[in-house]
Amino acid sequence: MLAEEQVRHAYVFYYEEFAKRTEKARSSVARLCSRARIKIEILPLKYENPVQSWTAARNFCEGRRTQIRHVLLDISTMPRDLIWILLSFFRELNVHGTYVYNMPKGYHSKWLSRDPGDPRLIYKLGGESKFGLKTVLLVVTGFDLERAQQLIDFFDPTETILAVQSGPQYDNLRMNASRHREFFRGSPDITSFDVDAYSSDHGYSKLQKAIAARVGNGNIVMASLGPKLSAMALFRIHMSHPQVGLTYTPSKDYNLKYSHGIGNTIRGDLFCAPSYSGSPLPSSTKPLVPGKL
Amino acid sequence: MKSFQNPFEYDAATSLSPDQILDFYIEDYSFSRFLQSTRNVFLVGERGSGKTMALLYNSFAVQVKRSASTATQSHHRLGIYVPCNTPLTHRREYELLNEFQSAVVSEHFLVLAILFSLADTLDKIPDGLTASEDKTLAEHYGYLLDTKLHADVSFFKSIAMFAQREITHTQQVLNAGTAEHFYPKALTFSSAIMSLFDLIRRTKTFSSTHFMLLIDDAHYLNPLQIRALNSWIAYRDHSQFSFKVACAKVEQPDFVTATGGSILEGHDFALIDMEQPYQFETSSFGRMARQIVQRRLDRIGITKSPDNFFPVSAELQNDLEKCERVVEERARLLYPNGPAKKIRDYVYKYARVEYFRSRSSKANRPQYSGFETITYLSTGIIRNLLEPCYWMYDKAKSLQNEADSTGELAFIPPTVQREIILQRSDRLWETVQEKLPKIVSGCSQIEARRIRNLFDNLSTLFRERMLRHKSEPRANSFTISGLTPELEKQIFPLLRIAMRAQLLYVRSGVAKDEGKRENYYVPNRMLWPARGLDPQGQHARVSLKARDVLSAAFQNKSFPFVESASLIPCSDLELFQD
Repeated sequence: MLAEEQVRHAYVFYYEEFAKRTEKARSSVARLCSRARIKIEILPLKYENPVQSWTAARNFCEGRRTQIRHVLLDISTMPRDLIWILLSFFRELNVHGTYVYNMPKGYHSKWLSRDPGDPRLIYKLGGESKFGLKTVLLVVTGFDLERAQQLIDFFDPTETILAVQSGPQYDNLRMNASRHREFFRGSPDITSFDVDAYSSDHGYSKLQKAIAARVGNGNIVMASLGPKLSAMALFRIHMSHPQVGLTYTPSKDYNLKYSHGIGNTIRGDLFCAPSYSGSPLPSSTKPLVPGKL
Repeated sequence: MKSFQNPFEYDAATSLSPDQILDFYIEDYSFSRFLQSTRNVFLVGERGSGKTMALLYNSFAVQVKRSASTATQSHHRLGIYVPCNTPLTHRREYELLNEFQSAVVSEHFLVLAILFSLADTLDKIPDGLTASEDKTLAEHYGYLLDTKLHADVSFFKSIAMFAQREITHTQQVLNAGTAEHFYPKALTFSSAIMSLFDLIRRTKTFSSTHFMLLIDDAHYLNPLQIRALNSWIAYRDHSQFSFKVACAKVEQPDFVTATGGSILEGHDFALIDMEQPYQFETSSFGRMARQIVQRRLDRIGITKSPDNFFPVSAELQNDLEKCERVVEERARLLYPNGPAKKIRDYVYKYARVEYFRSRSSKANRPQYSGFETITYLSTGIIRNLLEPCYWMYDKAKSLQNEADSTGELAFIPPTVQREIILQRSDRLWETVQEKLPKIVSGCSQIEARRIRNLFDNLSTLFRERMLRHKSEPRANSFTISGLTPELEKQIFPLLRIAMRAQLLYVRSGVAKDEGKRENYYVPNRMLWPARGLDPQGQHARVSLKARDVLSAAFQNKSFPFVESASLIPCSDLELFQD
């Protein structure tokens, strides 16, 4: 991919709190870049200091805005808050590019992350709320239903919309869809619909429809707990409806064996719907067809 | 309005209409008259303790309905409800600014929230202002704020619109670009709110109005907003306005003002603990619980009392009566010369214990049932009272519908009560066993394991006591003695997590020594049925050594059990004070 995209500079973000855990991966990337004669810069962030991380990301983007012609943003192992922060800076600074997501072959069967902190609205992406409107929470659900419950407890929304990932990938139907439906069944203020983040628009059109129907009638906050690609769809919705806020729940602990292997690769334009037209992608990078994983 | 099929539906108070709040709210035993004073008041309590309901009941929207029904309309006191759990409060851009700018922007957000609620409420008062007052106020207030208010609407409407415009504009400024932005036209409490009070008190309708600013969920405010709020509370003059602030008990904000001073309980504000310590029949909570449930039964046309609607199982009743007779005989042997009170006290203390002690170790868990048991299980939290009632009603109604869908539900069969109580109890233990790190932010796996150990060992201790302790077998709350700063640092974070998960409640009571007050801890009584324990009984506290608490939590060591361990009986005085 590095050669294919003619990458000249590589920038690797890592969190100091997890420095030891990611040391090996950083070294591998450095060796890879060295072999391909790509300049590499390793940039530390502080996971538990959002101000420092935001400022560092901003300084990085502003400092290199003239050098970057096209960015290739690999979101595969990037936390959603950093994805959104970088996307917002690229957009403000008129930096265009492509995102890439390498799907894992599988996830750990027991747990992925744990010890969540309080949910946080992302700096500058918290929307434009109004007084006197009800709070509406939209959550793209993941494997951990207590995470959704935690968001509901925190924001205490009048209306909650669960966008439940569809499809059988990664045992999703058992681990996610049916568990969420069962857990929240009968809750009068909670509705749900199916969405597929692995579809060609990462669920954007369905999510957008749900949001558009409520903009102006509520203060809407969106969270992505499901497939990472749903974070791209939510950012696009935020772009079209800046009134809608994005929130993220940091976790203090991640499973070292969070996922294994690399499956299909998905990519698209940073600020548009994923586009697969133009030069044909290798078979491994074709968009996935729902239910065909 | 929502239709309530189940009379015990316990929706969030903010989801209820003013009519429903009037219907459900019980004025007695809930400090409601205290709230109607001109004092600053903090209401503290965990979720479901009735804080929001108490504030909303005192808000204009509800009081105007109430006065319409009692034909006593007056604007002597006006409650302005200001919710804090909104996405606006959760914004964090202030963290990107320097200390001064953070404080200014934070205050601006809170001031606009109060301004909007104030204007929105006053706009709903018909004929509040004359046409000439409306015009004059708009000119004066517009001048003070250096803005032109919308001329085609009422004065109060124009202020509400101004607040909306300002909050949108502020957010747009803060969100824009890649730089940290300050909002230079920020409002302050004195420039926007106090000046408005001054102006509207010059009108005929509001000349003697006292404004009660009802700030809900204040624990969601950022630390700078808390300090600003404390500074406003420190104002000495309470003739125009006062604050009634509801906040969580565990994350109770501090009392430091913006200038580094502090506000003092008793002097600057009164503090009300919404979690009531006792649940016996004649306690404040016991009485309130009866009224709450009675009112909900009345609403669906059930004329039975709560005790008759939630009857005690006949089997349990029989067994308890037998035990009472056995214990009474024993008391007469122990105290052949009486007096009668001593014998009565002995029976009160040991009859239920006899029941639990005489049960076969292989017997099923007891027939937990009866309204008194349900009240005890609530541990003094209204939501904990309504929740099992809701599930019991739901289950009983489903069973009845199977037999005869047209009939009315006359009572909740004790078998259903027991089933639901055990289900809810098992579910609470699931929280202890597995869910803490997922539901309490900041709770690590290690802390969760320690809390699990602590609760397991507490339940073992309370069981041991119930079966074998000689003088106070029914104690199921505890104090911690021998605390050092080092031990506090290890134990208190665990207790705080347990409190946030509502597994544990903290109360203040008379200490053993010199009548001082001390904190004591009451585990959620809903935990006990799953372990076959008696949820009733609260007249004694076990004094646990801090080192033992630490060993129980960190090393999963059992608490040392002595058959006549040191206890702190609640004095009669304290019970009567309640």
